[in-house]
Amino acid sequence: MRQMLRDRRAFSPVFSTVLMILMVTIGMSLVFAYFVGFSRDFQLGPGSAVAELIEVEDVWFHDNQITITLYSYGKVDSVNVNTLYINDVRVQDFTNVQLIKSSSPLSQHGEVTVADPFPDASGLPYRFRLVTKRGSVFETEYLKP
Amino acid sequence: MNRKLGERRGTAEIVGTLLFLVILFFILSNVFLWHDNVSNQMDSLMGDKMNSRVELRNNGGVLWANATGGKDVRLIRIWITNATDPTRPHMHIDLETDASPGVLVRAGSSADITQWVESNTPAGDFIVKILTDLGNTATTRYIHS
Repeated sequence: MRQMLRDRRAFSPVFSTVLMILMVTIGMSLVFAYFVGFSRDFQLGPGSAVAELIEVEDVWFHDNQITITLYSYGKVDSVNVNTLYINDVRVQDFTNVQLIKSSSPLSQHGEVTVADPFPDASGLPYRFRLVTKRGSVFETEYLKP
Repeated sequence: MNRKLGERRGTAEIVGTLLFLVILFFILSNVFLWHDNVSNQMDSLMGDKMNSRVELRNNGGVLWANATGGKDVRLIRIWITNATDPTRPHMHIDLETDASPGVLVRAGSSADITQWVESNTPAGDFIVKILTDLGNTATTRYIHS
């Protein structure tokens, strides 16, 4: 037994094999972790864009401002509307609207007020285009009174 | 042929490549199945939306919300706008709250929503709009005398 332990022949091949297995295992784990992270990011991000649905429930024109009320009824937990176009003009003072499907049903509704880019355009149609963080686009048209 | 089969050089590369392909296939099939599932859910949701039409009728001063589609309709919000001056504040009544699941209208039947509108408006000419949980809307005019 002692002689076996003292025998150093074939130590190097065993050591190198263990080292190789270790490196391959670590390498494959890294690749696996990368792909799992990639797929999770896709599922939470652009992949869920198909599950977003928004209804513009009300548009109120007042004092050279527009108040837009939104309702999210898709299959995602939250929708982040981060860009608004009115008649193809990007609204600069638009702040993000977060519509969250949580325990309270009212959090699925959201409201934002922006400056009217065409204050003198009474009686003309306004085409609103909303773009979400995931990349979904929703359009609706309202007539300014 | 026997010699070729007995050759062990290059086996590691083949095993490594196969392992990598298995991991890649596992992740991609997972993403594909998830996307397919989400798409099916959204198709079903859109089918429900199209099949749960709602209309709002003013029948001699009584506001009737009719579910004209093949599915039940759940009313979640009523919007009230001044018809003569739409720039005045738009008012809404939340039917769906933490305490209430909204007003359920069975397919083919109607619900009287006059009480909510009447108790929240002064005398005047109004545009009343209802919103369902699936994003459908219906509008009518209502004169509160």
